[in-house]
Amino acid sequence: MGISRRKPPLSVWESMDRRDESGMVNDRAAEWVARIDAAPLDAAAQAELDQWLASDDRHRGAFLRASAAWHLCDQATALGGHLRDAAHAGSPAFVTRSVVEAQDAPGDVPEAGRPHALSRRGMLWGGGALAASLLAAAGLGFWKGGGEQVETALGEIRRVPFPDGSMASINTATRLKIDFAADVRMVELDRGEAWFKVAKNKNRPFIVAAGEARVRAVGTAFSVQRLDSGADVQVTEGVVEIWATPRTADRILVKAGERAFIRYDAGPQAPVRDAAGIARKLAWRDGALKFEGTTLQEAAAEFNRYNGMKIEVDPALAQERIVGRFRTDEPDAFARSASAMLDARFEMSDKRILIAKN
Amino acid sequence: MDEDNRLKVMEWVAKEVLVHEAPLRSWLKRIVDGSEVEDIVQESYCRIAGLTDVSHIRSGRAYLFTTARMLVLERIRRARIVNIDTALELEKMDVAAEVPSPEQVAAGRLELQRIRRLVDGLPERCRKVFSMRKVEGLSQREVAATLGLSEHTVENDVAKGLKLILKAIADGDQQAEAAFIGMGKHGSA
Repeated sequence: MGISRRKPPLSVWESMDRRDESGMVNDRAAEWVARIDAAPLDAAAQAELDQWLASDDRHRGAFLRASAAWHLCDQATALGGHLRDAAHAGSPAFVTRSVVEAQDAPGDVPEAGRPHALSRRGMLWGGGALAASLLAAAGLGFWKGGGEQVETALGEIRRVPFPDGSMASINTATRLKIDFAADVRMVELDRGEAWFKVAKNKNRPFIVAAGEARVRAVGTAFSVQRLDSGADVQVTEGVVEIWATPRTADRILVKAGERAFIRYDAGPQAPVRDAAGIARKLAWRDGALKFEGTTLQEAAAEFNRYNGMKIEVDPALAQERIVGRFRTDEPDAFARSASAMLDARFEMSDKRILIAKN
Repeated sequence: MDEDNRLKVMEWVAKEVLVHEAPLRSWLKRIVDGSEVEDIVQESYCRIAGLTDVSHIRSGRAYLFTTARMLVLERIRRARIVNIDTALELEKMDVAAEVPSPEQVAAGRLELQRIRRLVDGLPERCRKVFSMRKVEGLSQREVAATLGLSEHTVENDVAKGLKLILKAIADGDQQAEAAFIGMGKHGSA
């Protein structure tokens, strides 16, 4: 992709021109960012931009710099707080802003080589209407979002601190959007699973939205996993309130050691006590998967959430139960252990691991 | 996915790299000619633009300085630079890359507030456009309609404000603020 610039040696006047020219490049980049911010580029403008970017390394650099500076203004002005439609502030109904995000096909999730276990990401800043300019492959995309988006790759587990002192452990192949405002702290879970430890603030409830499901916390720790028919909530500390829009009055409390399922259509189901099960199911936060009598099929499905190398299980073995603790990023070790436990065999190829009857 | 990656890179640059540009320029001025400084800075950002993943980068400052240093070395090899003590300055630059001074650490933390002050100090109409655009989240078109301006004017104001902010990023704290104060008093609408 690099375009080499041939530069002859410079005379004094030429070097002065060059200084102007370099300054002009920065100005031009700012003008492009402003133009893109105004409206999506038409084909002719896009071609013009592509050509400008392709013609010189410095143009590409200046463009990234100007885009980042524009983005920095978002962060800076956000310090003043987020202005929301006053009519909706505070009521659960406002949480149903439509965020239409295309659901990617399962194959689209980029895979991490190794999970970035518990790597620290920079601070997330809250509030403000953020408009970011995208540097798309062929030219320029344009993305207008309402908040800060976080996405993990396949197998990646990431810890993210929030500016209010809360933090989240974000599991494999998860995408969520953080939108903190003065009166409410909102997280939209588009897909996947995350565990939240919420800093206490009764004046600023923390709400996770997963489809129609809602979980509200005041000072608690809990996980939410977004599934096809609903959201699974597990509480490790404190109490949360769950419901499904639009039936905002139909709420249930879920306490520490309990799990509950919120159906998108039918709403929250009764909580179930299962402290040990919850602790096991949250072992991913430490990069582990723990099974205590789980079927081989379920265990394999769990591994497949984290790895491109998929485990397939012979139907004859699918219902066998296994016990053990494994690393999320070692499906091969799991296959080896499981095979030994069940007196089965396993075969590894490029893309999959098969566990079959001997 | 590619677009998401590039967005992440851009956000990382905004948070972790821009604040170190001014110190980098100070260092570069000791080693290369004035006209080359801008080129090296822009080319450094170009290298960064080629990254697909920045999550592994521990220090934006170190990455920026190291990238720039590499570009300086390339120029030395092509014999574009004639400057005594270049090697010594390069070595000092290495140290600067890893260990920011306490002032620089403090400056990093204050960056957002500084940008905020700069935005507040823009010429009045420019500032209003910025505020409506960024704080209230109106589109440029909506800003134009609300303020009774043409969309072209609004776009120009956005560009103008951004240029001033970029200059401030390049200059670092004091000079930029002085420039803004001057701009605010005589600033053309």
